[in-house]
Amino acid sequence: MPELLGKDFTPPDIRGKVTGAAKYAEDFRMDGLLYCRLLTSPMPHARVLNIDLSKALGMEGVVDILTADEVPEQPGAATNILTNEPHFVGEPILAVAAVDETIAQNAIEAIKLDFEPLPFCVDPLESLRPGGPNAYLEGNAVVPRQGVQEFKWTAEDFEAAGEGELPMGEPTAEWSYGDLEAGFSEAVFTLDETFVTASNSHHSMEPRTALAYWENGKCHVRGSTQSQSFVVPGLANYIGIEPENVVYVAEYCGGGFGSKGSAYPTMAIPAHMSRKTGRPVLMRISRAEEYFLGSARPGFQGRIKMGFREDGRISAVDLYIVQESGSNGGGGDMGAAASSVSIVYTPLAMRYRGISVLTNTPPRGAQRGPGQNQIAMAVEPLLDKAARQLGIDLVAIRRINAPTNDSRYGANRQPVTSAHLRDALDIGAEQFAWQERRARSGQRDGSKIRAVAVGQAFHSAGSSGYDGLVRITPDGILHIHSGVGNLGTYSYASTSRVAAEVLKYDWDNCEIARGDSSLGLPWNLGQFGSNTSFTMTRTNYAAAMDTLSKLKEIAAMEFGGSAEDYDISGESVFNRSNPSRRMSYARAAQRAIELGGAYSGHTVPDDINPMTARAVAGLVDTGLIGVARDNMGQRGMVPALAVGFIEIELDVETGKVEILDYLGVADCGTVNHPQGLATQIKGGAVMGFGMACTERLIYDNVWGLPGSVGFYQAKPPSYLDVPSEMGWAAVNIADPQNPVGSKGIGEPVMGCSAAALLCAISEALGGHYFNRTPVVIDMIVNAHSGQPQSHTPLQVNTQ
Amino acid sequence: MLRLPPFSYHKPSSVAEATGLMDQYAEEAMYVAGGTDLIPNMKHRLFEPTHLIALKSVTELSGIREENGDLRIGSAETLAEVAGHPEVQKLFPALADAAGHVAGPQLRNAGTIGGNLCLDTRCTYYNQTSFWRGALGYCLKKDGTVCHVTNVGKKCVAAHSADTPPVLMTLGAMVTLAGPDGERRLPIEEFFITDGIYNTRRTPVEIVTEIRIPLGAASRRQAYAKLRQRKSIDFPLLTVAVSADIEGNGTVQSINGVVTALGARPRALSGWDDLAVGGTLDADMIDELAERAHEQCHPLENLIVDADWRRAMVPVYVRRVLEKLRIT
Repeated sequence: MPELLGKDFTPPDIRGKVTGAAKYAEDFRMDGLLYCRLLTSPMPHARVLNIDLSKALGMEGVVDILTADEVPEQPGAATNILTNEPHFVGEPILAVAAVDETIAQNAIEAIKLDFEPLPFCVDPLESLRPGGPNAYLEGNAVVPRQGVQEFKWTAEDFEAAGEGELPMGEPTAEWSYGDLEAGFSEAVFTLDETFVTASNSHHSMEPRTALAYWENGKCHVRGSTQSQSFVVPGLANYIGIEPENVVYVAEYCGGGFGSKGSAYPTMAIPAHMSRKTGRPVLMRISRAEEYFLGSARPGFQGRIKMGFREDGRISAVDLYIVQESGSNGGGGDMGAAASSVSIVYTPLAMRYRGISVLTNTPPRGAQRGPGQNQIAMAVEPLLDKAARQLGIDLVAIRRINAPTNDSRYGANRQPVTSAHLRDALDIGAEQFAWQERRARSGQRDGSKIRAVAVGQAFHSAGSSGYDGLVRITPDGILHIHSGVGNLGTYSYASTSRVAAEVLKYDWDNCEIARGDSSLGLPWNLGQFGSNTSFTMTRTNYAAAMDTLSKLKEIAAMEFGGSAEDYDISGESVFNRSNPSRRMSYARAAQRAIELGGAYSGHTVPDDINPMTARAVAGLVDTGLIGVARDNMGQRGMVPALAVGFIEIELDVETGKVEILDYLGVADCGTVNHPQGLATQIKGGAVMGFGMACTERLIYDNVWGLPGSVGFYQAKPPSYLDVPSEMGWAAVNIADPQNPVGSKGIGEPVMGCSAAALLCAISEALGGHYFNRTPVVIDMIVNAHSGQPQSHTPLQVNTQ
Repeated sequence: MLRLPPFSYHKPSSVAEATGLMDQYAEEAMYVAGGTDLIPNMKHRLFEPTHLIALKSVTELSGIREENGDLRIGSAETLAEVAGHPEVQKLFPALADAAGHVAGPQLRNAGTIGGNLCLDTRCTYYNQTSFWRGALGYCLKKDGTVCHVTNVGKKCVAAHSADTPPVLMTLGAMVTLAGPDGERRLPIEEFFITDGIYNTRRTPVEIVTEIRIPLGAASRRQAYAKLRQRKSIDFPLLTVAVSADIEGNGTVQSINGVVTALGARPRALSGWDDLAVGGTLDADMIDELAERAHEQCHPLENLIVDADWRRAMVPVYVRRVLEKLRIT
């Protein structure tokens, strides 16, 4: 019976957060600090012809100016650190450093730039038309292994599509499995729907500020990232130095939601400016700038054909996605969306085709449930449509198509580690009193209609092969070195407790070393992709097991016998046959230092990452070192699955939706930290509600100018727009490929709430399918009153 | 960061001192009370005063009390105070309701009712950073020559977006203004004009010192409703206020309706008296009044929402406030 896992605790960074003592990147100050501001592009695509810096450089307090010519150029469509050919409004062109921020900004305003406007595009389909505009001079699509290419569909491709249907020209990505034709032949009901999902901003609470200075040949950076060690190689590359010459501090992160998982271009600007000026440099990013350059979820223009058997089983799926990939090619959303369909609905046959199209809009990147959450919003209401047609209960149709432990995933038909979506549906249906509530779904009271619905989502949530590092010092303290990062979920702490659990430590005698690479942090995967719970429990387990072995070996050396004769309790190691032969961990740590070798970090396993080896080198002879690569093996993909149950009241006269109740249920393996899980489920639900009904990017089609450039316009839900109380539950069945049974969950808990809300809106409107997200209130009114919508079916950037 | 332009901050303790300072700095100065509208607008470089004259320490601008047959509300009273004041809640519940629906709690704790009256008009193309507006070549209301909403004409159509004025208009409130040349008082419906650039009759040197609502209006039935996308923070996309004198037998003696957030000033709904006065506020009459409101409201695309939908919401919200009136 675990002592620590499965129990709530107070993560060590909470006190700093609630007292204000926590230092985020922009809280640091240094002697001689310079402040940096950016000159950004007012045009969606342009070429800088001439820059007149004379006036700015002559201003008192202005120290230096950094231009695109002085920083490494990035390959293909990757966003540049600074550029002379901006590809979106708000892309940084140059940076000014001054003794204060006001002077820096005044200098920015004194710089004269001559631009040559270039053709631009904000709608992927327009770009695919013959003769359509390209986002780049080189082309409009990122083609695998070929970079940016011009990619156009034919006039016939467009003509072949019916009114309001997505044309389907040649894709750049494609896979299939099973007999698609047979699948559709077998179907008694077939849907063929075109849909649009809007892009939406990450709008992290903390903008992406960075501070940098150089000392003894190393560049010290304080940044805002979800991840710690994983950031370093990319950041080093942006700076143009080796990873071992980066000292990276990111103790806290005020939200990233996927946009700060890895290093990003602007965080290298203070480093370059500091190298140029010889002084520390801080660059704060404004809220407005965050909306221009802070990343966004790619939008989809898609089409899905689904065949259903009479029993509700999905016999075939044919999916096509045109991905709006912004100025950088976006992420792998479209492929992830397709793979998600393959596992959440386990269709007997499936084909996926997709094309990623560049637009002159902000860089796109992974946002919580990248691809999976967009497709959940598009497909889940269609599942309901089929259920209504076939006379099947909405939960039942999900159960019949749900994955099991034997299901296969994606193009390569990978196995899965565990999948308990049916259990999640069953638990949720029971706790939400599904049958009882369904009986009142559709009831009308005046202009208000009550609706009850369910939504599902998925994310692949775990990885392996990373390094664990723990250390027992002669004072008996267990130091758990975590390089994963701290994106705000406290999973860095809950996964660290695995090491304490293995070594039977009192948690009060444990410290987590994190947030500063100079503390000696191992090579870990970043905090993204819902992977931390699975990945980091394994690495910490591996390191703890190495420590346990060493403790027993040391005891055996001291008291005789073999390591197998020894066990642990009360932070000491003892001989099972003669428990009086007992050595405290503190004493063992001292012995480790005396013994040297692997015991105190003089040697390390051959298979650990060089970053981990460097970390250990800095810790040599400080105690007993436990370090190991996670070599436990992993067969298959780790599915995080989530279900949301919702009850709403929809006012058909105003379009307003009141969320009356919500229950989220997670299949995340064994629950490691209940409070953390509850927060994930509820917080994810709030994000999902926003994505479903209010949040979207808008672009002026004439000027390429963004409209959603602040919290106000981007419209994340306010505190009155969500229920003050929401429920949560977990399947709590161990994943067999994790030593403590854990899987991740952070991302699908957003997608399932968005899907549930959209399904409920459709339910309230008698099954109306909107073919578009977000479903904003005017769409609801128009749908109910039979008025035409203000947008055309495939239009993007709509209000 | 979006920086404030540099300015000197003055903290007068009397209206005379405040207007004196305004006289001294003339066009370089602006008054500030809660600052919830002005400060963001200054960060957006919509205003760049070099002197700010703060009004919150001017004691004459405080106080909510009955005085000379009116409820007198000092202009520097915060919206939270107005919303929570027992006298306001008792006499003019629609005003308390409207004040309590402005933005969110933090903004209501700082923003004042005087500031709400003087709230700058809002537009998609105006409430943006200098960088954003510059990328579009600026707009008619500030620094440019073209209205991006209408694309024609020289009339700014930015929307009046304050919550309390429509209610005050239906209650026959008066506004007192003080300037270097003395004091004047005008009915609140005359306070607003149809110029989206500068939509009140307050001259830049004048201070709104108080709002006076005749106590006689307290006997009127009052109702207020606000349309917005989210339940907090958002400015109104449509605000409707109504008040009526209704006899014990249900006969309407008088009725007023005001809508706002559609154009540059609140619109007093017309064409209601001949239908409603002397009649009963039953479902048919409510529908007809709502339809008459609908006919006279034509919102433009000055906010990022569908203008047709906003127009369609006019009769819905008018009907709902009238129904509230019927049951109050």
